[in-house]
Amino acid sequence: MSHMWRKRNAQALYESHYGPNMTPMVDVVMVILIFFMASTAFLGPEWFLKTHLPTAGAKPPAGEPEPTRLHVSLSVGPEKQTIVAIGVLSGLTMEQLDAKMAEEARRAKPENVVVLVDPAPGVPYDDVVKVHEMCARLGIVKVGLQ
Amino acid sequence: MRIRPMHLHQPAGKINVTPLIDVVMVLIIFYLIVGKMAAERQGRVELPSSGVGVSSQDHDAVIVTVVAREGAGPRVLVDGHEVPEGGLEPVLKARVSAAPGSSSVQVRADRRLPYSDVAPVIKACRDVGLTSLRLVTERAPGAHGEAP
Repeated sequence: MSHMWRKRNAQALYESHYGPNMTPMVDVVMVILIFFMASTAFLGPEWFLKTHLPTAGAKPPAGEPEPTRLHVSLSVGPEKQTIVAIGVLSGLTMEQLDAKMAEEARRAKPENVVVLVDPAPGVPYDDVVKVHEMCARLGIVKVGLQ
Repeated sequence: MRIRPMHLHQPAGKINVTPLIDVVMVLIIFYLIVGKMAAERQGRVELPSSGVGVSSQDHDAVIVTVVAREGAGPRVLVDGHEVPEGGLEPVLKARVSAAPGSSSVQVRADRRLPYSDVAPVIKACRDVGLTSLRLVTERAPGAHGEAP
């Protein structure tokens, strides 16, 4: 028992420790953990919506059936609200556009529908993205931006 | 006889967490500062929110950021570097010709902007020969899932 009471210096204390030194390993693990947390924080909240940039006179590839084309025009109303025209229908709201596109996607299969978004200059960019979101939600992948 | 209490000495085998906490705190502060600097460099943008989208990352994509400014026209940045008005097309052309066929463009535009401020970016992309681009959105709370 006498060795328990002897005076110890720092070296003696250090040498009295047994087992592997965990500090470098824990340091490395924490660095990796924080790196992945930071990466997730940067990359996590962003999503992408793909849009095509059609050129005038572009034609579908040979052999493919003629798709159902929807020309979606967005304009600004007198009360700064976005007004939608789709085909021969005009004066629609964004909600009505959603319903109309859902109907078209049901009628012709989503893969056979081509949507061309044609926004007027004053239309909020947010609404342009909303139309792309509607298409993505309905499974329509052929979306172009005028 | 005076008995010395045992608890004055640190028990053998106990991990000393002080250096660990020091290092972790330094790293947290480092990442906070770097994150803030990176966000500032890309431009502060309020992205439109979307319930669907694609979450895959293309690390080689050209990122075009359109930042709204109070009382002035928008600021356009390509990979964090500001581009003067009308100078977007040459910059994009150089980037696209550097990796023909595999280059993609991501547009990070502020949701508050009118389309007229984003249209020049779309036009420049079309003019340099791109056939598609990706609109960057913020994942909406309760998002439905990945787009097809």
